[in-house]
Amino acid sequence: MATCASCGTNNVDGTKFCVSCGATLAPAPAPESWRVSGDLNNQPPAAADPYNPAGGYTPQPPPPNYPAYNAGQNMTPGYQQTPSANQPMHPIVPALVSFFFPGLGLLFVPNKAGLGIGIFAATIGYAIVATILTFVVVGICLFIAMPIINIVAAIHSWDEAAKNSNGQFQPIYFK
Amino acid sequence: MWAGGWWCHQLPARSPHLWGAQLPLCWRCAGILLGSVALFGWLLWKKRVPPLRMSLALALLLPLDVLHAVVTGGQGDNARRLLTGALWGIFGTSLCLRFVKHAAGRLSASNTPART
Repeated sequence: MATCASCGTNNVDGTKFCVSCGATLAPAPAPESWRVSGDLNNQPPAAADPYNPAGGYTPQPPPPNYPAYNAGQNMTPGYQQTPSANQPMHPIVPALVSFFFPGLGLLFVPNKAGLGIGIFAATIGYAIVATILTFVVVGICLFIAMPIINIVAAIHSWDEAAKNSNGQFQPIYFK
Repeated sequence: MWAGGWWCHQLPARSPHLWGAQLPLCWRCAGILLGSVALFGWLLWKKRVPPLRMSLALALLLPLDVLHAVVTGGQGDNARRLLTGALWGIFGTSLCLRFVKHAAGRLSASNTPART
């Protein structure tokens, strides 16, 4: 309740003028929590603080169980982090996949899936052409390149994965 | 065996046998595969491919061996198939890597807009 200083009428909290005489009411005092955090001039002196004997505002260090904040770092809550988070995949995985299925190892490399599917489709096309040409002997010569295609695709996938590992792994040929 | 059938004719007379069982690749294809894997290890170690002229000379031994067998109608021997296959695996892969790198370089250069 806000009591009018002129006529003594009790007014509802928050009203600016007295409902009886129309006099301006004094503003109600702010809540205790607002005053503590917002009105720094009315803070009690901090002379008891051994780190700041002159008083005033002292930044408080975070509790020891809080992680340190680094600008630019993707801060993920601890319950969402996995051991492999931010860990690039070892290039041997896409290399092995591309050795058996040329190009498909690039599906494990960001932004290279289209290239990988294209390489796989081209390899399938090459094998089909070689199979057809086997009946006119030339296809045998094309088939001796098949293992080479597989190993070249494996090396290429290794290098693409290494280039996406932020320097953790080094490409071996396609730099 | 089906995995080897993707690459290889798997003729029993030209394939290695282990304890009476035929292995999935013939001698020549086994040589190619071993040579390719050897080149992969070499690349991991040295980070460079063998010289171009040496690669051309040694990779051509396999096509010459095949051509010789076709022309003469000879059976050849499995040791020669394994050796020429391994050389093709090493140096043919080296040539293929050079070609792919060269083609990729030209492709990226043509996609890069010229500065004015």
